[in-house]
Amino acid sequence: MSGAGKGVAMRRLWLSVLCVMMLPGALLAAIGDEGLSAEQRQRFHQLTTELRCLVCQNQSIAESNADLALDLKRQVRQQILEGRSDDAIRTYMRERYGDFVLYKPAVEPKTYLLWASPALLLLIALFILARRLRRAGPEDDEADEELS
Amino acid sequence: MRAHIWIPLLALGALVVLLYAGMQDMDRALPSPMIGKAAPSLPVPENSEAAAVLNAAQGQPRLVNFWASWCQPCLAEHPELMALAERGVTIIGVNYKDEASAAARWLDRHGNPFAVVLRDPEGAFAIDWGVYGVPETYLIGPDDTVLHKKVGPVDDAYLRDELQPRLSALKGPAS
Repeated sequence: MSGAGKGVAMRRLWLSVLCVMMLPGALLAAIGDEGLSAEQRQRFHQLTTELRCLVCQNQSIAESNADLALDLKRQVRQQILEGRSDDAIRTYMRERYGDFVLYKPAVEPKTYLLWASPALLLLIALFILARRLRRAGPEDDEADEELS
Repeated sequence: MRAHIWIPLLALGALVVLLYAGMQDMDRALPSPMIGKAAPSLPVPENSEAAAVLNAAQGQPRLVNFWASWCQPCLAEHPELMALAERGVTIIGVNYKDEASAAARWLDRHGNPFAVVLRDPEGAFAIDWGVYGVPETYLIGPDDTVLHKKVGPVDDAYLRDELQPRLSALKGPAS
């Protein structure tokens, strides 16, 4: 009985810790979309999570509270209100800050290798796996024991 | 067969080396997509005198420096800018997100290396230039294209390796 109670208490503790950790993100996400319709608001959140904050380079501008991120969010909001398309807004940012500003870089000759790299890595891994399996053979139990 | 257990360890070691090497590359300066393109527009000068200076700078190689009185690295690069101005390099100062009075006081106290000071209190022009943190310094060619961008304070390495060769190249064909 007391053991189960302890478990529940632990789980509650962890849940509240998790909630607290999520709080900043939730608060920030609410900033900057005033005056937008529901559909525009969704576009705003989509776009701002796709755009990288140049100051704090591992955050999107949606997550970031840096001055520049706030400015760029204001730009996105403004341009949505002006009726510009998502692509036009992405292009606007890219013309000024380069590919780095996009978390999802465009597919073009310069970025082919970047986009292909996960598939290439998978191929290399499969190749190595296939070679090892072939070499070990089906009845070679010794190898399995040593690996485990 | 025993040798196999070393493979994950070696892979881990290689990864650590790779990540460590990645950490050494702390230059956060990003390549500017502006290079080779026409220089974006600047804030409108506040008076006719400033407008005249700005006009005269057109068709000349010049620096555009985004700075603010609240920006510490701007103070660090300030002596370099003063020296450049003394050597006759035209520097256009864009005062970024600053109070006019604070900027004026800063220039009074430390000296004014700028041929003209333009104001960008909202940082709107800075976005057009792709500025993401002051100070940033752009070299503009006589044909009004952006030749180079320096993020962070102007230092000896920049003057020696980036600015000087480009200025010499610009002077070269003309003489």
